[in-house]
Amino acid sequence: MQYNDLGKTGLKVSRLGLGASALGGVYGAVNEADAIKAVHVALDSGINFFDVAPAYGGTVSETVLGKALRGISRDRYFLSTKVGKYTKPGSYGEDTLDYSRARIRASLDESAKRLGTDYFDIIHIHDIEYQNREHTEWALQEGYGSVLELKGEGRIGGVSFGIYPMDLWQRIFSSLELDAGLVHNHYCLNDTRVLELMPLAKAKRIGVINASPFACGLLTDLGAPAWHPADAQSRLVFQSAADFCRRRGTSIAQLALQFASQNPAIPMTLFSAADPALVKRNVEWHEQPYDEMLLAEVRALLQPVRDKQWSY
Amino acid sequence: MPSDQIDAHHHLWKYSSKDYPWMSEGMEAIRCDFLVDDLHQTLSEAGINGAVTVQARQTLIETDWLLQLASASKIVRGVVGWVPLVKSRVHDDLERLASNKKLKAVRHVIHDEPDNFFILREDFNRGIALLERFKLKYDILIFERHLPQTIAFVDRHPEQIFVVDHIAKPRIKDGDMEPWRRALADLARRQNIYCKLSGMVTEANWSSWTESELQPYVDVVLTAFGPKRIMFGSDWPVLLVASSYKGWVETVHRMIRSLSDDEQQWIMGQTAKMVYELD
Repeated sequence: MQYNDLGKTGLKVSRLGLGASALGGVYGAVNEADAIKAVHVALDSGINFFDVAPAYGGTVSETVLGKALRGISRDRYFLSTKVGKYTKPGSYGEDTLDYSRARIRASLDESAKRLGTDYFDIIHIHDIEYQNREHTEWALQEGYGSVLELKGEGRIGGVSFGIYPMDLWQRIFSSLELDAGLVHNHYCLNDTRVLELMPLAKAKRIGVINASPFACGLLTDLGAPAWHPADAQSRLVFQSAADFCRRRGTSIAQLALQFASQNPAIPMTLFSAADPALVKRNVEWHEQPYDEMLLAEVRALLQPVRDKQWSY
Repeated sequence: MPSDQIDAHHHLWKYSSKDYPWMSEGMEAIRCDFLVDDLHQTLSEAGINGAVTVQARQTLIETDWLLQLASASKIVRGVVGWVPLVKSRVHDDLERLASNKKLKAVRHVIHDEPDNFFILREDFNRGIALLERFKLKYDILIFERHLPQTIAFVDRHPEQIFVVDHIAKPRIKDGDMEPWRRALADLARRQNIYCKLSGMVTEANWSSWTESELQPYVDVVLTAFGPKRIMFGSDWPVLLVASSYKGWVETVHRMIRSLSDDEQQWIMGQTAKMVYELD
């Protein structure tokens, strides 16, 4: 496993990190014992960064990750969670967005309790574009200010955002002081737009964290879950590409993971899995180079959905 | 959060024998008005909170009327309208109608056309070819005997998303499964087509059908399409000649109970939401 500097955070992070969304049942039912084992397999494979959010599975992801990390020395890993977005347990819908100072400070305490730690290496302000951007300004003012305050108090190591729209990323990278940015679905087989942020990231030493190498399931044989905004036509394109890889004796998931996690300009890529076998498999895939010819053919097949932006 | 329960296929009408000549003997139960208030009441009693209205009359007036009803109803999330696909003017009709976000698809009553090969007509296919740019899906209403030409039709439009209504109407009354089973499996190999689990009681004996009689047909559809390409529909109020609305909903729940919760949610709402892009 390779380790890279994450912007100016001072953290030396594994090139592959584990996102804990899957632990809360976001991608299907989860066996808790398996989920805990998945986290341990990740640690043993050299992964030293875990990301989670109270919104994943309505706090269940944080609780399960917390159970898995119990007894593990805090200096063996870096941990980030998020503030501002909350969901009811057992689902990935019906979100509450609250970027007030009071809620953010309380949220940090709640997450700390569930995860069994008082310190977070990074806090991301979560999904500020949701609900038709009605709360974006609030998040950028009071939300950002509150998280900056927590950093000043020494409760967290770095300030970041976890959002999707590229125009918002441009605005945030250029106008705010940031330690990191968790950019999902913008460096994968069908979308490489995170590269547009690299000059600013380099200039301001913002640690870019790439997430969702499998494009929330679109780049797998099983396809994306029902909650994904992709329409039937787009899903068809992804499915054809997946079928193509299968006919070639490989899997689109393998190519997806390899492509997303091997760009030297990107310090860390997060994937999420609650199955220890999948964690092991992804780490193994990550350590192997991908087939350049296959990549060209698959990207050609994905042309109709190339850089297509979804409305989450 | 419980996921949306969507009825992907129902009708609305102000009855007149002139507008609905197909309502024959024995259909007295549906020879009256069925409007949005009836829909709201019927669906909410059965735990359904969203629905897709499908054309019955084959006029542009029908499409405009259904879109108007949909705009005033929270439960009607989408409309499958009618446009004159065989006419050259259809491009202008689509341009006008497609600006209404609730228009999700169009349908022509193919199985009533005297020409069994209507679905392969050049003028019809030219119209179909226009739908994709307007992001509209197409509902295929056929009988079992039309399946071979339907397969050829679907292959002519690989980028178009199709939905076959009423499981392509097998001859449930006769207890026959072939050639429907083999032809449906063949059709289902095309990934751009989805299937509505609807209109079954009306293909069975209206007064004496049983759930155990329908189960084998449901199993064929599940094997052919898989839960992620199947959507529940009622064909209300047409189904009332053979079943109550609630009775059909409960029958479907029982017939798919061996599937996982996730798979059942696809059938009972998620597939319809995804395919028709419902809010």
